[in-house]
Amino acid sequence: MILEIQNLTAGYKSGPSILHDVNFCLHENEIVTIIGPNGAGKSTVLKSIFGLTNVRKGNVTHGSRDITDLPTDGIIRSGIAFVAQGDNVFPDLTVQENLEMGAFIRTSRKEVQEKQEEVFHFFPSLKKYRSQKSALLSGGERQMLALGMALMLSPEILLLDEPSIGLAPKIINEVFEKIQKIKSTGTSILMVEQNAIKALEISDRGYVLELGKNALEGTGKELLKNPKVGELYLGKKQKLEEGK
Amino acid sequence: MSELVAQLIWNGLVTGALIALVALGLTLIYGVAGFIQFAHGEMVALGAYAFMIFHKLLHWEILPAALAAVTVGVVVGLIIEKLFFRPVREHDPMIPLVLSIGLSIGLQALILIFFGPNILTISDRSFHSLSIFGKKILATPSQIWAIFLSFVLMGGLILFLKKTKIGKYLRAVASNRSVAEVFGMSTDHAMQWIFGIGVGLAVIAGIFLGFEQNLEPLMGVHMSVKAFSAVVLGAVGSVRGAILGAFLIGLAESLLVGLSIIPSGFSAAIPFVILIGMLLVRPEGLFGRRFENLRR
Repeated sequence: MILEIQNLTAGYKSGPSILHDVNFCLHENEIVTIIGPNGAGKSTVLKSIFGLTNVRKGNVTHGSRDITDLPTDGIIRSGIAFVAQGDNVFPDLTVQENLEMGAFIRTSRKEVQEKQEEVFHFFPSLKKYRSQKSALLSGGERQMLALGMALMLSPEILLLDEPSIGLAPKIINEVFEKIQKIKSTGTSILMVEQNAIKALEISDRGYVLELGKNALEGTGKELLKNPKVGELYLGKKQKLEEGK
Repeated sequence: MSELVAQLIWNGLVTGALIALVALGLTLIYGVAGFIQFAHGEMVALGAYAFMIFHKLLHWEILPAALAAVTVGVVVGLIIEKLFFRPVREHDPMIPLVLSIGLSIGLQALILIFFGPNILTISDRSFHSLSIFGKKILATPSQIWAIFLSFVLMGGLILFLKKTKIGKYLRAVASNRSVAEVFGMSTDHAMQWIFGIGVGLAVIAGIFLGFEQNLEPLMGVHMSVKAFSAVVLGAVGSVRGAILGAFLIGLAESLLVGLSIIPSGFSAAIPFVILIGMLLVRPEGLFGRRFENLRR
Protein backbone atom coordinates (compact mmCIF):
# COMPACT_ATOMS: atom_id res chain seq x y z
CA MET A 1 0.00 0.00 0.00
CA ILE A 2 1.47 3.30 -1.02
CA LEU A 3 -1.01 5.69 0.63
CA GLU A 4 -3.34 4.98 3.50
CA ILE A 5 -5.88 7.26 5.13
CA GLN A 6 -7.14 5.92 8.43
CA ASN A 7 -10.06 7.16 10.53
CA LEU A 8 -9.60 10.67 9.25
CA THR A 9 -11.72 13.44 10.74
CA ALA A 10 -11.00 16.88 9.32
CA GLY A 11 -12.42 20.33 8.66
CA TYR A 12 -11.27 23.87 7.84
CA LYS A 13 -9.86 26.24 10.45
CA SER A 14 -12.22 26.23 13.41
CA GLY A 15 -15.28 25.20 11.34
CA PRO A 16 -17.19 21.95 11.76
CA SER A 17 -15.69 18.65 10.69
CA ILE A 18 -16.41 17.81 7.07
CA LEU A 19 -14.93 14.32 7.03
CA HIS A 20 -15.85 11.83 9.72
CA ASP A 21 -13.73 8.74 10.27
CA VAL A 22 -13.05 8.12 6.60
CA ASN A 23 -10.73 5.41 5.29
CA PHE A 24 -9.14 5.15 1.88
CA CYS A 25 -6.16 3.39 0.45
CA LEU A 26 -4.15 3.54 -2.74
CA HIS A 27 -1.96 0.70 -3.97
CA GLU A 28 1.04 1.04 -6.14
CA ASN A 29 0.25 1.73 -9.79
CA GLU A 30 -3.46 2.17 -9.26
CA ILE A 31 -5.98 4.79 -10.29
CA VAL A 32 -8.50 5.24 -7.50
CA THR A 33 -11.46 7.59 -7.84
CA ILE A 34 -13.59 9.06 -5.10
CA ILE A 35 -17.08 9.97 -6.28
CA GLY A 36 -19.99 11.43 -4.41
CA PRO A 37 -22.53 14.23 -4.50
CA ASN A 38 -21.64 17.88 -4.15
CA GLY A 39 -20.58 18.78 -0.66
CA ALA A 40 -19.73 15.21 0.30
CA GLY A 41 -16.20 16.28 1.17
CA LYS A 42 -14.39 14.78 -1.80
CA SER A 43 -11.97 17.67 -2.28
CA THR A 44 -11.45 17.85 1.47
CA VAL A 45 -10.00 14.33 1.36
CA LEU A 46 -7.29 15.42 -1.08
CA LYS A 47 -6.63 18.66 0.78
CA SER A 48 -6.30 16.75 4.05
CA ILE A 49 -3.70 14.44 2.53
CA PHE A 50 -1.85 17.53 1.38
CA GLY A 51 -1.90 19.22 4.77
CA LEU A 52 -4.29 21.99 3.72
CA THR A 53 -7.00 21.27 6.28
CA ASN A 54 -7.23 20.94 10.00
CA VAL A 55 -6.92 17.20 10.70
CA ARG A 56 -8.57 16.42 14.02
CA LYS A 57 -8.26 12.67 14.18
CA GLY A 58 -6.71 9.82 12.27
CA ASN A 59 -3.67 9.75 10.09
CA VAL A 60 -2.24 9.66 6.60
CA THR A 61 0.63 7.31 5.83
CA HIS A 62 2.75 7.40 2.72
CA GLY A 63 4.57 4.08 2.43
CA SER A 64 5.71 3.50 5.97
CA ARG A 65 5.90 7.16 6.85
CA ASP A 66 3.27 9.12 8.77
CA ILE A 67 2.79 12.38 6.87
CA THR A 68 -0.25 13.65 8.77
CA ASP A 69 1.51 16.56 10.43
CA LEU A 70 4.03 17.40 7.72
CA PRO A 71 3.86 20.89 6.22
CA THR A 72 2.91 21.05 2.54
CA ASP A 73 6.47 21.32 1.25
CA GLY A 74 7.41 18.26 3.30
CA ILE A 75 4.56 16.33 1.72
CA ILE A 76 5.70 17.39 -1.77
CA ARG A 77 9.22 16.27 -0.94
CA SER A 78 7.89 12.90 0.20
CA GLY A 79 6.70 12.38 -3.41
CA ILE A 80 3.10 13.57 -3.57
CA ALA A 81 1.83 16.21 -6.00
CA PHE A 82 -1.56 17.89 -6.07
CA VAL A 83 -3.46 19.29 -9.01
CA ALA A 84 -6.13 21.59 -7.63
CA GLN A 85 -9.58 22.09 -9.04
CA GLY A 86 -10.22 24.88 -11.56
CA ASP A 87 -7.74 27.72 -11.04
CA ASN A 88 -4.65 25.57 -11.06
CA VAL A 89 -1.98 27.43 -13.02
CA PHE A 90 -0.27 30.81 -12.73
CA PRO A 91 -2.12 32.85 -15.40
CA ASP A 92 0.41 35.72 -15.48
CA LEU A 93 3.40 33.43 -16.04
CA THR A 94 4.40 31.84 -19.31
CA VAL A 95 3.84 28.13 -19.86
CA GLN A 96 7.53 27.47 -19.37
CA GLU A 97 7.66 29.55 -16.19
CA ASN A 98 4.64 27.66 -14.88
CA LEU A 99 6.52 24.40 -15.33
CA GLU A 100 9.63 25.84 -13.67
CA MET A 101 7.54 26.94 -10.73
CA GLY A 102 5.93 23.49 -10.59
CA ALA A 103 9.40 22.28 -9.68
CA PHE A 104 9.92 25.13 -7.19
CA ILE A 105 11.22 22.87 -4.41
CA ARG A 106 13.79 21.28 -6.72
CA THR A 107 17.11 23.04 -6.53
CA SER A 108 19.07 21.55 -9.42
CA ARG A 109 18.61 23.70 -12.50
CA LYS A 110 19.74 20.95 -14.80
CA GLU A 111 17.21 18.49 -13.41
CA VAL A 112 14.43 21.02 -13.82
CA GLN A 113 15.39 21.64 -17.44
CA GLU A 114 15.54 17.95 -18.23
CA LYS A 115 12.21 17.34 -16.56
CA GLN A 116 10.71 20.25 -18.47
CA GLU A 117 11.70 18.74 -21.82
CA GLU A 118 10.17 15.45 -20.66
CA VAL A 119 6.91 17.20 -19.85
CA PHE A 120 6.89 18.98 -23.21
CA HIS A 121 7.44 15.59 -24.80
CA PHE A 122 4.52 14.20 -22.83
CA PHE A 123 2.25 17.15 -23.69
CA PRO A 124 3.42 18.15 -27.19
CA SER A 125 0.55 20.64 -27.53
CA LEU A 126 2.05 22.77 -24.74
CA LYS A 127 5.40 23.17 -26.43
CA LYS A 128 4.27 25.68 -29.03
CA TYR A 129 2.90 27.94 -26.27
CA ARG A 130 6.00 27.75 -24.11
CA SER A 131 6.67 31.48 -24.01
CA GLN A 132 3.02 32.54 -23.97
CA LYS A 133 1.17 33.53 -20.83
CA SER A 134 -0.88 30.63 -19.61
CA ALA A 135 -3.93 32.90 -19.26
CA LEU A 136 -4.19 32.61 -23.05
CA LEU A 137 -4.47 28.82 -23.04
CA SER A 138 -7.77 27.03 -23.63
CA GLY A 139 -9.36 25.15 -20.73
CA GLY A 140 -8.04 21.80 -21.89
CA GLU A 141 -4.52 23.08 -22.45
CA ARG A 142 -4.58 24.71 -19.05
CA GLN A 143 -5.53 21.40 -17.45
CA MET A 144 -2.66 19.71 -19.33
CA LEU A 145 -0.33 22.42 -18.05
CA ALA A 146 -1.55 21.85 -14.49
CA LEU A 147 -0.83 18.14 -14.90
CA GLY A 148 2.55 19.02 -16.38
CA MET A 149 3.41 21.24 -13.42
CA ALA A 150 2.68 18.35 -11.06
CA LEU A 151 4.74 15.97 -13.20
CA MET A 152 7.71 18.33 -12.85
CA LEU A 153 8.00 16.87 -9.35
CA SER A 154 8.19 13.25 -10.64
CA PRO A 155 5.63 12.32 -8.02
CA GLU A 156 5.04 8.81 -6.72
CA ILE A 157 1.45 9.78 -6.00
CA LEU A 158 -0.65 12.28 -7.91
CA LEU A 159 -3.77 13.77 -6.34
CA LEU A 160 -6.25 15.12 -8.91
CA ASP A 161 -9.16 17.31 -7.87
CA GLU A 162 -11.87 17.24 -10.57
CA PRO A 163 -9.56 17.13 -13.60
CA SER A 164 -12.56 17.25 -15.99
CA ILE A 165 -14.31 20.28 -14.50
CA GLY A 166 -15.42 22.87 -17.05
CA LEU A 167 -14.07 20.95 -20.07
CA ALA A 168 -15.81 19.90 -23.28
CA PRO A 169 -16.50 16.15 -23.60
CA LYS A 170 -13.87 15.64 -26.29
CA ILE A 171 -11.25 17.38 -24.16
CA ILE A 172 -12.27 15.34 -21.11
CA ASN A 173 -11.41 12.17 -23.04
CA GLU A 174 -8.00 13.60 -23.88
CA VAL A 175 -7.36 14.49 -20.24
CA PHE A 176 -8.37 11.03 -19.06
CA GLU A 177 -6.15 9.44 -21.70
CA LYS A 178 -3.24 11.44 -20.34
CA ILE A 179 -4.11 10.37 -16.80
CA GLN A 180 -3.96 6.74 -17.88
CA LYS A 181 -0.66 7.41 -19.56
CA ILE A 182 0.68 9.01 -16.39
CA LYS A 183 -0.29 5.87 -14.50
CA SER A 184 1.61 3.74 -17.01
CA THR A 185 4.78 5.66 -16.17
CA GLY A 186 4.54 4.38 -12.61
CA THR A 187 2.67 7.14 -10.81
CA SER A 188 -0.27 6.12 -8.63
CA ILE A 189 -3.29 8.38 -8.87
CA LEU A 190 -5.98 9.32 -6.38
CA MET A 191 -8.67 11.34 -8.09
CA VAL A 192 -11.90 13.06 -7.14
CA GLU A 193 -14.50 13.36 -9.90
CA GLN A 194 -18.01 14.57 -10.61
CA ASN A 195 -17.89 12.88 -13.97
CA ALA A 196 -18.33 9.48 -12.35
CA ILE A 197 -18.85 7.24 -15.38
CA LYS A 198 -15.76 8.33 -17.27
CA ALA A 199 -13.63 8.38 -14.15
CA LEU A 200 -14.70 4.93 -12.97
CA GLU A 201 -14.11 3.51 -16.44
CA ILE A 202 -10.41 4.23 -16.19
CA SER A 203 -10.15 3.49 -12.44
CA ASP A 204 -8.92 0.31 -10.82
CA ARG A 205 -11.00 0.99 -7.74
CA GLY A 206 -13.44 3.57 -6.50
CA TYR A 207 -15.00 4.89 -3.35
CA VAL A 208 -18.33 6.59 -2.81
CA LEU A 209 -18.29 9.36 -0.25
CA GLU A 210 -21.55 10.59 1.24
CA LEU A 211 -21.89 13.39 3.81
CA GLY A 212 -18.27 13.05 4.79
CA LYS A 213 -18.47 9.29 5.39
CA ASN A 214 -17.47 6.19 3.44
CA ALA A 215 -20.57 4.80 1.71
CA LEU A 216 -19.43 2.24 -0.85
CA GLU A 217 -16.23 0.77 -2.16
CA GLY A 218 -15.35 -1.50 -5.04
CA THR A 219 -13.54 -1.90 -8.32
CA GLY A 220 -14.40 0.61 -10.98
CA LYS A 221 -16.57 -1.94 -12.83
CA GLU A 222 -18.39 -3.03 -9.69
CA LEU A 223 -19.33 0.52 -8.85
CA LEU A 224 -20.46 1.23 -12.39
CA LYS A 225 -22.83 -1.74 -12.16
CA ASN A 226 -24.03 -1.02 -8.65
CA PRO A 227 -27.67 0.13 -8.97
CA LYS A 228 -27.42 2.47 -6.01
CA VAL A 229 -24.46 4.24 -7.54
CA GLY A 230 -26.26 4.31 -10.85
CA GLU A 231 -29.27 6.00 -9.41
CA LEU A 232 -27.53 8.44 -7.18
CA TYR A 233 -24.49 9.60 -9.05
CA LEU A 234 -24.39 8.41 -12.60
CA GLY A 235 -27.51 10.16 -13.74
CA LYS A 236 -30.63 9.26 -15.61
CA LYS A 237 -29.07 7.76 -18.70
CA GLN A 238 -27.41 5.02 -16.77
CA LYS A 239 -30.64 4.33 -14.89
CA LEU A 240 -32.55 3.86 -18.13
CA GLU A 241 -29.91 1.53 -19.46
CA GLU A 242 -30.14 -0.50 -16.27
CA GLY A 243 -33.89 -0.76 -16.70
CA LYS A 244 -33.65 -2.21 -20.18
CA MET B 1 11.58 73.51 -27.84
CA SER B 2 12.57 76.39 -25.64
CA GLU B 3 15.05 76.07 -22.81
CA LEU B 4 12.20 76.48 -20.35
CA VAL B 5 10.44 73.43 -21.76
CA ALA B 6 13.68 71.44 -21.68
CA GLN B 7 14.18 72.43 -18.07
CA LEU B 8 10.60 71.50 -17.20
CA ILE B 9 10.93 68.12 -18.90
CA TRP B 10 14.10 67.49 -16.92
CA ASN B 11 12.35 68.41 -13.67
CA GLY B 12 9.41 66.24 -14.63
CA LEU B 13 11.68 63.29 -15.33
CA VAL B 14 13.34 63.67 -11.93
CA THR B 15 9.98 63.78 -10.15
CA GLY B 16 8.72 60.93 -12.31
CA ALA B 17 11.74 58.78 -11.47
CA LEU B 18 11.19 59.30 -7.74
CA ILE B 19 7.43 58.62 -8.03
CA ALA B 20 8.28 55.48 -9.99
CA LEU B 21 10.48 54.12 -7.22
CA VAL B 22 7.64 54.55 -4.73
CA ALA B 23 4.95 53.33 -7.12
CA LEU B 24 6.92 50.15 -7.86
CA GLY B 25 6.86 49.15 -4.20
CA LEU B 26 3.18 49.98 -3.96
CA THR B 27 2.28 47.93 -7.02
CA LEU B 28 4.45 44.97 -5.97
CA ILE B 29 2.94 44.90 -2.49
CA TYR B 30 -0.52 45.08 -4.02
CA GLY B 31 0.34 42.27 -6.43
CA VAL B 32 1.52 39.86 -3.78
CA ALA B 33 -0.42 40.95 -0.69
CA GLY B 34 -3.59 42.09 -2.42
CA PHE B 35 -4.08 45.46 -0.76
CA ILE B 36 -2.89 49.05 -1.19
CA GLN B 37 -0.35 49.85 1.51
CA PHE B 38 -1.20 53.44 2.34
CA ALA B 39 1.66 53.79 4.79
CA HIS B 40 4.08 53.25 1.91
CA GLY B 41 4.53 57.02 1.58
CA GLU B 42 5.76 57.15 5.17
CA MET B 43 8.57 54.84 4.09
CA VAL B 44 9.70 57.68 1.83
CA ALA B 45 9.70 60.03 4.82
CA LEU B 46 11.52 57.38 6.84
CA GLY B 47 14.23 57.31 4.17
CA ALA B 48 14.60 61.08 4.11
CA TYR B 49 14.73 61.46 7.90
CA ALA B 50 17.01 58.45 8.43
CA PHE B 51 19.44 59.79 5.82
CA MET B 52 19.27 63.24 7.40
CA ILE B 53 20.22 61.75 10.78
CA PHE B 54 23.17 59.80 9.40
CA HIS B 55 24.38 62.50 7.04
CA LYS B 56 23.68 65.76 8.86
CA LEU B 57 23.63 64.85 12.54
CA LEU B 58 26.22 62.08 12.55
CA HIS B 59 28.23 63.64 9.68
CA TRP B 60 28.63 60.43 7.71
CA GLU B 61 29.58 60.66 4.05
CA ILE B 62 26.70 60.48 1.57
CA LEU B 63 27.22 56.89 0.45
CA PRO B 64 27.53 55.22 3.87
CA ALA B 65 24.68 57.36 5.17
CA ALA B 66 22.49 56.31 2.24
CA LEU B 67 23.37 52.64 2.70
CA ALA B 68 22.60 52.91 6.41
CA ALA B 69 19.24 54.56 5.65
CA VAL B 70 18.35 51.83 3.16
CA THR B 71 19.30 49.17 5.72
CA VAL B 72 17.13 50.82 8.36
CA GLY B 73 14.29 51.06 5.83
CA VAL B 74 14.46 47.40 4.79
CA VAL B 75 14.52 46.28 8.43
CA VAL B 76 11.53 48.50 9.25
CA GLY B 77 9.72 47.10 6.19
CA LEU B 78 10.28 43.52 7.31
CA ILE B 79 9.13 44.35 10.84
CA ILE B 80 5.99 46.12 9.61
CA GLU B 81 5.07 43.15 7.44
CA LYS B 82 5.57 40.65 10.23
CA LEU B 83 4.08 42.69 13.07
CA PHE B 84 1.14 44.39 11.40
CA PHE B 85 0.19 42.85 8.08
CA ARG B 86 0.89 39.14 8.55
CA PRO B 87 -1.68 38.66 11.33
CA VAL B 88 -4.47 40.13 9.18
CA ARG B 89 -3.39 38.72 5.83
CA GLU B 90 -6.06 36.04 5.57
CA HIS B 91 -8.83 38.51 6.36
CA ASP B 92 -10.86 40.68 4.03
CA PRO B 93 -8.43 42.99 2.14
CA MET B 94 -10.28 45.96 3.65
CA ILE B 95 -8.71 45.19 7.03
CA PRO B 96 -5.03 45.48 6.03
CA LEU B 97 -5.98 48.55 3.98
CA VAL B 98 -7.53 50.33 6.96
CA LEU B 99 -4.63 49.16 9.10
CA SER B 100 -2.21 50.75 6.64
CA ILE B 101 -4.06 54.08 6.85
CA GLY B 102 -3.78 53.93 10.65
CA LEU B 103 -0.11 53.06 10.37
CA SER B 104 0.40 56.04 8.07
CA ILE B 105 -1.16 58.45 10.57
CA GLY B 106 0.79 56.88 13.44
CA LEU B 107 4.11 57.22 11.61
CA GLN B 108 3.40 60.86 10.75
CA ALA B 109 2.75 61.49 14.43
CA LEU B 110 6.04 59.82 15.32
CA ILE B 111 7.91 62.16 12.97
CA LEU B 112 6.15 65.12 14.61
CA ILE B 113 7.11 63.91 18.08
CA PHE B 114 10.78 63.39 17.26
CA PHE B 115 11.49 66.15 14.75
CA GLY B 116 8.73 68.68 15.32
CA PRO B 117 6.60 70.34 12.66
CA ASN B 118 9.46 72.46 11.32
CA ILE B 119 10.91 72.12 7.89
CA LEU B 120 14.38 70.59 7.75
CA THR B 121 16.81 70.56 4.86
CA ILE B 122 19.56 68.19 3.85
CA SER B 123 21.72 69.95 1.36
CA ASP B 124 22.93 73.30 0.19
CA ARG B 125 22.22 73.27 -3.48
CA SER B 126 24.91 73.37 -6.05
CA PHE B 127 23.75 73.48 -9.65
CA HIS B 128 25.46 72.04 -12.63
CA SER B 129 24.78 73.30 -16.05
CA LEU B 130 23.98 70.41 -18.35
CA SER B 131 23.61 70.48 -22.06
CA ILE B 132 21.12 68.00 -23.46
CA PHE B 133 20.09 68.06 -27.14
CA GLY B 134 21.68 71.47 -27.41
CA LYS B 135 19.52 72.94 -24.65
CA LYS B 136 21.11 74.27 -21.50
CA ILE B 137 19.41 73.09 -18.35
CA LEU B 138 20.25 73.34 -14.68
CA ALA B 139 20.58 70.09 -12.81
CA THR B 140 21.81 69.29 -9.33
CA PRO B 141 24.18 66.36 -8.85
CA SER B 142 21.50 64.61 -6.80
CA GLN B 143 19.04 64.94 -9.67
CA ILE B 144 21.48 63.35 -12.08
CA TRP B 145 22.06 60.56 -9.61
CA ALA B 146 18.32 60.17 -9.03
CA ILE B 147 17.67 59.68 -12.73
CA PHE B 148 20.62 57.37 -13.21
CA LEU B 149 19.99 55.22 -10.14
CA SER B 150 16.25 54.95 -10.59
CA PHE B 151 16.68 53.73 -14.15
CA VAL B 152 19.25 51.18 -13.00
CA LEU B 153 16.93 50.04 -10.20
CA MET B 154 13.87 49.83 -12.44
CA GLY B 155 15.76 47.84 -15.06
CA GLY B 156 17.31 45.67 -12.38
CA LEU B 157 13.94 44.99 -10.79
CA ILE B 158 12.34 44.03 -14.09
CA LEU B 159 15.22 41.66 -14.86
CA PHE B 160 15.08 40.27 -11.32
CA LEU B 161 11.35 39.53 -11.64
CA LYS B 162 11.71 38.03 -15.12
CA LYS B 163 14.90 36.05 -14.91
CA THR B 164 15.66 34.89 -11.38
CA LYS B 165 14.02 32.02 -9.58
CA ILE B 166 13.04 34.27 -6.68
CA GLY B 167 11.54 36.79 -9.09
CA LYS B 168 9.47 34.13 -10.79
CA TYR B 169 8.45 32.84 -7.38
CA LEU B 170 7.21 36.30 -6.37
CA ARG B 171 5.26 36.63 -9.61
CA ALA B 172 3.83 33.16 -9.11
CA VAL B 173 2.60 34.01 -5.60
CA ALA B 174 1.12 37.24 -6.96
CA SER B 175 -0.52 35.37 -9.83
CA ASN B 176 -2.22 32.62 -7.82
CA ARG B 177 -1.41 32.27 -4.15
CA SER B 178 -3.27 29.02 -3.55
CA VAL B 179 -1.52 27.24 -6.42
CA ALA B 180 1.79 28.61 -5.14
CA GLU B 181 1.13 27.02 -1.76
CA VAL B 182 0.32 23.67 -3.37
CA PHE B 183 3.78 23.71 -4.94
CA GLY B 184 5.50 24.43 -1.66
CA MET B 185 6.00 28.20 -2.05
CA SER B 186 5.79 30.10 1.19
CA THR B 187 3.57 33.17 1.17
CA ASP B 188 5.33 34.46 4.29
CA HIS B 189 8.70 34.55 2.52
CA ALA B 190 7.17 36.22 -0.52
CA MET B 191 5.73 38.96 1.70
CA GLN B 192 9.09 39.51 3.37
CA TRP B 193 10.79 39.82 -0.02
CA ILE B 194 8.22 42.20 -1.37
CA PHE B 195 8.17 44.44 1.70
CA GLY B 196 11.97 44.44 1.82
CA ILE B 197 12.28 45.42 -1.84
CA GLY B 198 9.37 47.86 -1.75
CA VAL B 199 10.50 49.74 1.32
CA GLY B 200 14.09 49.71 0.10
CA LEU B 201 13.02 51.48 -3.10
CA ALA B 202 10.83 53.95 -1.17
CA VAL B 203 13.74 54.82 1.12
CA ILE B 204 15.99 55.50 -1.86
CA ALA B 205 13.29 57.77 -3.29
CA GLY B 206 13.09 59.47 0.12
CA ILE B 207 16.81 60.19 0.22
CA PHE B 208 16.66 61.88 -3.19
CA LEU B 209 13.46 63.68 -2.29
CA GLY B 210 15.27 65.03 0.75
CA PHE B 211 17.81 66.62 -1.58
CA GLU B 212 15.08 67.93 -3.88
CA GLN B 213 12.81 69.49 -1.33
CA ASN B 214 12.39 70.05 2.38
CA LEU B 215 11.79 67.44 5.02
CA GLU B 216 8.45 67.78 6.73
CA PRO B 217 6.16 65.30 8.47
CA LEU B 218 3.65 65.14 5.61
CA MET B 219 6.19 64.64 2.82
CA GLY B 220 5.25 60.96 2.68
CA VAL B 221 1.57 61.63 2.15
CA HIS B 222 2.20 63.88 -0.84
CA MET B 223 4.41 61.23 -2.40
CA SER B 224 1.94 58.51 -1.55
CA VAL B 225 -0.86 60.29 -3.42
CA LYS B 226 1.25 60.66 -6.55
CA ALA B 227 2.52 57.09 -6.41
CA PHE B 228 -0.97 55.76 -5.83
CA SER B 229 -2.26 57.68 -8.85
CA ALA B 230 0.63 56.37 -10.93
CA VAL B 231 -0.17 52.80 -9.91
CA VAL B 232 -3.86 53.10 -10.78
CA LEU B 233 -3.00 54.91 -13.99
CA GLY B 234 -0.76 52.10 -15.15
CA ALA B 235 -2.98 49.25 -13.83
CA VAL B 236 -2.75 48.14 -10.24
CA GLY B 237 -0.24 45.31 -9.87
CA SER B 238 1.58 46.06 -13.14
CA VAL B 239 5.27 46.95 -12.96
CA ARG B 240 5.54 48.57 -16.40
CA GLY B 241 2.29 50.40 -15.78
CA ALA B 242 3.52 51.90 -12.52
CA ILE B 243 6.70 53.19 -14.18
CA LEU B 244 4.85 54.73 -17.10
CA GLY B 245 2.18 56.21 -14.83
CA ALA B 246 4.85 57.75 -12.62
CA PHE B 247 6.59 59.52 -15.48
CA LEU B 248 3.28 60.74 -16.91
CA ILE B 249 2.35 62.30 -13.59
CA GLY B 250 5.81 63.76 -13.01
CA LEU B 251 5.91 65.32 -16.47
CA ALA B 252 2.31 66.54 -16.38
CA GLU B 253 2.84 68.24 -13.05
CA SER B 254 6.05 69.91 -14.11
CA LEU B 255 4.82 71.07 -17.52
CA LEU B 256 1.30 72.18 -16.57
CA VAL B 257 2.49 74.25 -13.63
CA GLY B 258 5.74 75.40 -15.25
CA LEU B 259 4.04 76.68 -18.38
CA SER B 260 1.44 78.43 -16.21
CA ILE B 261 -1.35 76.37 -17.71
CA ILE B 262 -2.49 75.59 -14.21
CA PRO B 263 -1.76 77.85 -11.21
CA SER B 264 0.84 76.32 -8.94
CA GLY B 265 -1.62 76.21 -6.06
CA PHE B 266 -3.52 73.53 -7.95
CA SER B 267 -0.50 71.34 -8.62
CA ALA B 268 -1.52 68.83 -5.94
CA ALA B 269 -4.76 68.22 -7.84
CA ILE B 270 -3.02 67.16 -11.05
CA PRO B 271 -2.52 63.48 -10.16
CA PHE B 272 -6.18 63.25 -9.18
CA VAL B 273 -7.41 64.88 -12.36
CA ILE B 274 -5.32 62.49 -14.45
CA LEU B 275 -6.55 59.61 -12.30
CA ILE B 276 -10.23 60.52 -12.65
CA GLY B 277 -9.84 61.03 -16.38
CA MET B 278 -8.20 57.64 -16.70
CA LEU B 279 -10.87 55.93 -14.64
CA LEU B 280 -13.51 57.38 -16.93
CA VAL B 281 -11.80 56.43 -20.17
CA ARG B 282 -9.98 53.21 -19.38
CA PRO B 283 -10.74 52.02 -15.85
CA GLU B 284 -8.49 48.97 -16.06
CA GLY B 285 -5.41 51.16 -16.47
CA LEU B 286 -2.89 51.47 -19.27
CA PHE B 287 -1.55 47.94 -18.88
CA GLY B 288 -4.64 46.39 -17.32
CA ARG B 289 -6.64 43.48 -18.48
CA ARG B 290 -10.27 44.18 -19.22
CA PHE B 291 -12.46 43.38 -16.25
CA GLU B 292 -14.22 40.56 -18.10
CA ASN B 293 -10.89 38.80 -18.40
CA LEU B 294 -10.05 39.24 -14.77
CA ARG B 295 -12.51 36.57 -13.78
CA ARG B 296 -10.50 33.48 -14.39
